[in-house]
Amino acid sequence: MTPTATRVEPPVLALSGLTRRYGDVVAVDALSLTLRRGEVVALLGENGAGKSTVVNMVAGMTQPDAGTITIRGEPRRLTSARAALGAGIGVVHQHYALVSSFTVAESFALGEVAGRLDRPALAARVRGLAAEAGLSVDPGAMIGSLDVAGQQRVEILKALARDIDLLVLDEPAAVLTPDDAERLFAMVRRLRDRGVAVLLITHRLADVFSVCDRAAVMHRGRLVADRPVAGLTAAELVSLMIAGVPDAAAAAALARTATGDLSPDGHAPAPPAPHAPAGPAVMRVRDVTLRRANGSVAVAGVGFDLHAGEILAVAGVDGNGQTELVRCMAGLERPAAGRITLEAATSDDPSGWTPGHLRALGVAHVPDDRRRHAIAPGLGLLDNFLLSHVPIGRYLRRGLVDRVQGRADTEAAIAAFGIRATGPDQPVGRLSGGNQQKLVLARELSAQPRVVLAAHPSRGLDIRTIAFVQDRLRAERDRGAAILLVSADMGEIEGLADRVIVLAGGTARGPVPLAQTTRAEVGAWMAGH
Amino acid sequence: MDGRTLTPRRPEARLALVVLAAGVALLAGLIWLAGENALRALVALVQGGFLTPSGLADTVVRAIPLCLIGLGVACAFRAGVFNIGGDGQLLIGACAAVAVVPLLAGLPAPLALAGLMLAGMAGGAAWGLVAGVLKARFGANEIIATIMLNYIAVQVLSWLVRGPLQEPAGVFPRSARLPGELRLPVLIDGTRISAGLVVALVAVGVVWILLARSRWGYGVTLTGQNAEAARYGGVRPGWVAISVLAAGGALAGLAGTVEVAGLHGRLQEGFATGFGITAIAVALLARLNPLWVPVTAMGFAGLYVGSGTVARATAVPFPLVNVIEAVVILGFLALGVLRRRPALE
Repeated sequence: MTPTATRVEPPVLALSGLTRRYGDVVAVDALSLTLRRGEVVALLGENGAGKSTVVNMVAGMTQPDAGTITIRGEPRRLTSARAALGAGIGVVHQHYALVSSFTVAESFALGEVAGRLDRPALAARVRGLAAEAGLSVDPGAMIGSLDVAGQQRVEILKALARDIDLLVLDEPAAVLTPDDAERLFAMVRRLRDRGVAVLLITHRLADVFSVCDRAAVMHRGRLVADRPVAGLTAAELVSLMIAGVPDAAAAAALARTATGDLSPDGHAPAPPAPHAPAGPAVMRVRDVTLRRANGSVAVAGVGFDLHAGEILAVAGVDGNGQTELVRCMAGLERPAAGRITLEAATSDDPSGWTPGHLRALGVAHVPDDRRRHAIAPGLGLLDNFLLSHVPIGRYLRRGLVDRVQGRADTEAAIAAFGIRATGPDQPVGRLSGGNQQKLVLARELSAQPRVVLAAHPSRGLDIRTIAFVQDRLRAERDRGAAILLVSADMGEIEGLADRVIVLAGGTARGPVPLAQTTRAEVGAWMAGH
Repeated sequence: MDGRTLTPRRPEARLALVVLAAGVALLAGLIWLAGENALRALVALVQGGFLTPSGLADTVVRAIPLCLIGLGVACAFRAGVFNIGGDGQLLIGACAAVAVVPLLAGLPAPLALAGLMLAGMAGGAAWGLVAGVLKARFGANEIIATIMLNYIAVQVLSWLVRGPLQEPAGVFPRSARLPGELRLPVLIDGTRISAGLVVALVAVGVVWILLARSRWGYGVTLTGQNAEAARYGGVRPGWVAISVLAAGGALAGLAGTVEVAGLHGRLQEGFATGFGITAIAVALLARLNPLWVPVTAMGFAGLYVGSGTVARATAVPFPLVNVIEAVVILGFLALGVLRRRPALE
């Protein structure tokens, strides 16, 4: 790479005039974008801006209606995921295509190995790839026993296992802990140094500033900016994403309420608004021990009261029992030891501690893995809106499901949460991930819940929606709901929570009022000190 | 992806037509291989099954139990529960109905008939319940459980018609004739079409309302779409498995009762075989929609009747009718697997 080398290498990927319509909706409108060797480009935009459609076209899963995809100077038609991989494009999607009954090593053999499976060699290869990428992955672990972050690591490694020139990462950091995100970005930098181009689809501005060279911003299907990161400010990016123009002032107010991720220069977000003191304890957790799906103890000795009118944040790196705590509190599992009580219901009661019974007592639940646990992709928005109501006897009129009322409320939710859908009958599987999530939130907050269990409610959402969701949680709190907020995002915790409890290294710290602690102290707890 | 602007049902209807066309094409090919004129045989098939008065009447007679069992299969499949036990549930239902006949003596005829059918439904439901409890309580696979229960039911019938329920003469392995007031009346003179047709059509309406509009039906459909989300929403998965198997059993038991009270007049060995598997094809081709079940039941019943005509008129053997059933079942299973790929964007 001397200055005298005049040979211009063709770009790894050049998209030109790419257009994709779905019915009347133009999802991607004449988009042109170029990635060269060793370049890390962020593709930003709100939910429904068209980012996922771009990814699907590059991944060979959707064909463009117009425009060309040129790879290393050669126009290509990518008609399948295999064709894209053959052209040197590895894609890690937001939703993983993994077989839950396979081990990690077996998932690597899928579609690659013909003939006999050489398990020791396979395991060694996975370990080698993991070490090279700086990610921790156990080749013998079952996919189904891994959490979201663990499954993502497997998907990333699977993409890297092929000899690729371009790695597309669709919202990779949204499900990662800060440590793992940093490791991921270190890996991205190593790949860049090796000459691999990386297209990073993200909502998180922190990701853009920490690892990307260029930022391409989409707004309603169009590319509204493609500029070097060095000359950009967070406010400009927010404005581009929300309004499609770099008018910093317009978006600044919105940005401030949205997320702590916004300020790369470390400004703390606005302090939470003062509100009435918390009410009586609603849910009691006593000396609870939680086991992971694989049987190991995630955390022991958790105890706290969840009060009406407070937001109690559960902080900590994913995989330390947060998912299990929420599932136990929602009645989907029972703690391995200890007890949880809500009114007369206790977790030792064999028949009383079920999701249906707890829902009837006013528990709403926004789970971690919404696609798997909270929606039926083949059914429409209306039926998905009814999902947590009809089974416990709401929306019934004279013994039959009141679909008229349900439809009216679904339409109201679509409007209130700004869900991009053709109507209440569109299958939910056809919505983007962010819009699915908005529907789950709208549904769970729709029946004046007494207890809200919210696991990563803003994960994967765009900034405008995050601000909206956080406002809704505050409003529920002020109404008197008891809210448990699981979050790995310190900015969100500082902006929302009244108290915080940290699960780390097998033990629980707190809960302590947020006013009596510091970010440094909580950070130290999260790190296990 | 061009299905984005369509309602979810229309691609399903297209699938059903594709599968049906494949079945007919394969059948035509096999007839051709057998050395016959495929077109002539297919025309004879359709004429024999649907276009002659006596053929059409026979088709309706056969469609009645297929429709009832198919409704039950549709309920179970909607919940992702595979009820292969229609035949056994039908037999036990018929046995239970015949067993209560002495208790119904002296009641007014409508009441007695209602009692007979309730007993049949209870018997079938109990047989379905066995598989349901085995699945919900012990995690037994309902496919295996229901198939095994079919074999047991055949033996139960065989014992009953030689023992407790045998006709007083004690000669043949069969029960006594039902008294006249317990027979379902013939609806159309000169045919064997009984009031069982009304029973089947009422059942269609009831099952449709239950599936489409009741809390139970919502839980059933939701469980089939995403069992984890259903549990999360408050549906009890064990209850769903038990209730759909019991409901399917009740409908099959009703079919058995209608066969006895409307057609045969008594219980005898082998009086209703092979409905269970055909009913699976009926339910699948109806895309598990109860309103389409009577239509597809007529279709398969007509195929059966028409195949008899073809076998008499040509050298094509009767079992060829099974080809279409097999293609429909296998076709939908294969397409179901293909369609389980994650939805994109």
